[in-house]
This record gives sequence, C-alpha cells and structure tokens, in this order.
Amino acid sequence: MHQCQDIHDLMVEALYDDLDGERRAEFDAHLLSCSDCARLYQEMAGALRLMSVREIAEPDEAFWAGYSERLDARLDADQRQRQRPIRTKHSVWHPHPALRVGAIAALLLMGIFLGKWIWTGEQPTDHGPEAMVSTPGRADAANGLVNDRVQSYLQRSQVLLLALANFDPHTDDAVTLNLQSQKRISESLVREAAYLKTALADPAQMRLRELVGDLEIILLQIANLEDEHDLEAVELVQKGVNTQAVLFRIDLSKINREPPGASSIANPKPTNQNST
Amino acid sequence: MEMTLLDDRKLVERAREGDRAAFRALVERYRKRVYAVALDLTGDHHDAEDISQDVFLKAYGSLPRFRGRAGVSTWLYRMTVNACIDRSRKKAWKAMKPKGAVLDENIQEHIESRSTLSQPEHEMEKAILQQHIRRALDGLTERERAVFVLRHYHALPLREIADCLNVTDGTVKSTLFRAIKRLKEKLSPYVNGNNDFLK
Repeated sequence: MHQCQDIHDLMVEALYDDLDGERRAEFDAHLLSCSDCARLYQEMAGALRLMSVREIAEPDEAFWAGYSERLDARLDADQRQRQRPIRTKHSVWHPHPALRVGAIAALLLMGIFLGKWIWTGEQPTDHGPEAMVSTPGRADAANGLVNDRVQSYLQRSQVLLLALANFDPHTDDAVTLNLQSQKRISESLVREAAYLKTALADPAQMRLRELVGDLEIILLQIANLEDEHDLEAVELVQKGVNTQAVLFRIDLSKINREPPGASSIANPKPTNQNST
Repeated sequence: MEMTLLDDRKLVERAREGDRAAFRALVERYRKRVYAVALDLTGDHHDAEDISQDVFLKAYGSLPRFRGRAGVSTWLYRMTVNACIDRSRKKAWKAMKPKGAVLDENIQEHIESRSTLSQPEHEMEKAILQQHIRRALDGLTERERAVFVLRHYHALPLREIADCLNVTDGTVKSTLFRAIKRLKEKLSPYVNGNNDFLK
C-alpha cells in the first residue's frame, strides 16, 4: 500500500500523463482506496484545466519584422560599443567591479611602497614581507606562525571566492563551478576560521580577525548550500562577497602583512626605523 | 534559405565565428518561443520584447562560452527565466501592478472588444476568469511560475526544465507540485464551483 506522500511524489507526472504503465496502475489503485488523494488529484487537474483556458494575444507578423530590425540595431550598437576602447559602460569611470578592486589594490600597493621608499629611505625590494615578519624584536615567533597561517587561509579563501565571483549564473553552466568541491573546501576553511579567530588575539590584529570572521560567514553560506545547483544561493554569496568587499580586504591584508603591534594601512607610520 | 536547414550546433559554430546571418537564423528559430516564455512570466508585452532581445544580445556575447552541453533552446530558456527573475526583482512589478484599477481596465477593454458577441455576461465571466488566471500565476513565486510556465504552456519535459533552472529533477517535481497546489487554492471558487462558462 502506497503512502499518500509517495503518491504526491507521482502526482505531477500523473497530471501530465508522464507515468509509465506500472506506476500509473499503482497510482490509480491508490486513488481508488484513498479519497483524500483522489480529491486532491481531481482538484489539481481542475486547476490545470482552468489554467489552460488562459488567452494571450500573440504578436502579428509586422511585429516580428520590426523585432528583427530592432534586434539588429541593438546588436550593431552593442558591437560598436565593444569596439570602442573606453567611454563605454565599463569605462574609466565605471570599470568592471573586479577591475576596480584590482586597480585599487595595485594603487595602494604602489603608494605604500613608494611612500616607504620616499619617507623612510627603505628600499622595498630589500625587505620582502616575510623578512619583515621575521625581523627579531618586531614580532614573536608564535604570532609569526599565526600570521603565516592566516595568510595561507586568506589565499585559499580568495581563490575559492574568485571562482564564485567570476561565475555568471545567467550564462555559465553550473558544472563549471564544481560546487561540491567548493563546499568541501569551504567546510575545511570554516573549521580553520574558528581557530584563527582565537589565535588572532592581539588588538593590532583586530582588522584581520574581523576579515576572518566575515569570510567565515560567507564560507559558511557556501558550505551550507543545500543543492549544488542552487544558483540563487550562489548569487547571495556573490552579493556577500561584494558587500563585504572581502576580496579587496584580502588584497589589503597581503599588502599590510606586518607583525602585531606594527602599523596598519589605515594608520601608516614608518615601521622600520632601523633601516633609515 | 541555406541557414534554415542547418542544425543549431552548426549555426552556433558559424555565429561564433562572426557570421551574423547564422545568428539571425538562430534568432528566427527561437524568437517566438523566447518571447512567449518571457510574456508568460511577466504578463507584459513590452517587457517580453525587451527581455527576449536582451536574451539574444546576451546569447550573442556569450557564444564563445557556450559549450553545447545543453541544447540551444535550454540555454535560451535559462537566460530568459533568469532575465525575467532579474527584471521582476528590479522593478518589483507586482507592486507596480495594483490588483485593482489597471486590471479592471483590462477587463473593460476585453469586454468592449467583444461587445459584438451575443452573450455579454458569458464574456464578462470569461474576462474575469482571465484576470483571475493571471493573478493566480502572479501569486506564485518566481521559481514556481517559471517551472509551471515551462511545463504547462511550453510542454518542456521535467528533465529539460531542470537543466534550464540548474536544479535537479526532484526539485522541479516538488516545485511544480507546490505551484499547482497553490493555483488550485487560488482558483478554488472555479475549481470547486460552477465553471460552465469554460465550455
């Protein structure tokens, strides 16, 4: 004897006559023995009959002739716009969001290194970020390790989020996104975030801790996607990435990779006085 | 003439290489279907034209990325549904179409256009039914409406709808079940009562 829920699962196919002989026979047999399901089926079938009497005006041939002309005109205009190098929708003033983030990060990076070079006389190429972290007396080994781990965490999160941010659900196939794998990576990153938030205890690491916290929320959203094809949820994640500007903040953190207690981007000051 | 004989895949290949005539042939082949889906989802001819043209523009720009895993029709339907959902969210068109005045005008127009008929009352009932059908459709969620329209008015198999919406077959089935149930509730006076005027 079929449970009513099983029959409900077959209802849609039964309504559209998509059930094969055996399943149809089972379905019909259940309706004979269950008045509730029989009534539901009749009412749903009635609703479908009603929806079928809908009248909708079809455009005439003149409309279609004009339609092609209008589309051609738009295609031409679109192509002209694409060929024009700048002064388009994504112009110097309105670039693509990813370009904006990249450009801002590049400018900040250049500004900071030039600033240090000019004001402190420090030669940026002589001191890579790793050297700065490991300078004795400026950061202890434990914090250095945490920083390394945070940077690795941010790097992995950035790669994952970039794949999502560049995905266009309107045109790209969901399979290219490989959401199952993204979910697994997100889960592992979320677990790591719990440790990192605790480890980033120094007040000077507050911004980094906040970034890890914001990332954790976004990664949690990805890890909790119920359906690997749930593109609405993907769009939500994309919005979260944009709203929180996490990609930009990750870039900033790379630029600003300094030991606890040292300066931050927002509050720059000469940090390597010994070298001057 | 030659273009109309080519299958979708060939037309896509040619269009991808910049052959506008091939793309035009694809448009000719699918424009009515894309327009009809947009019209069913939005209920507005102007929106349907805008959306369908946007879809073809987007398709033209996305040809290099079209892998052909799904058919052209599935690809276009997917873009159409997404474009309709986007537009619906942006315009909040439900709020812009109050359930009173505008629709009543449409009914009046509908009745006047049929004033030569000998059964005005019968026609009025039919016009009101049309209004209720549209309202019932508008009362569904965007995804329910998309699934219902593709299955009921465009006879797409569940598998193809799943491909269009990037969801599983099971999700399509449960969404469609919910949609029909909700339509049944919204149209219950007709479903349970007298519907002689349908004859």
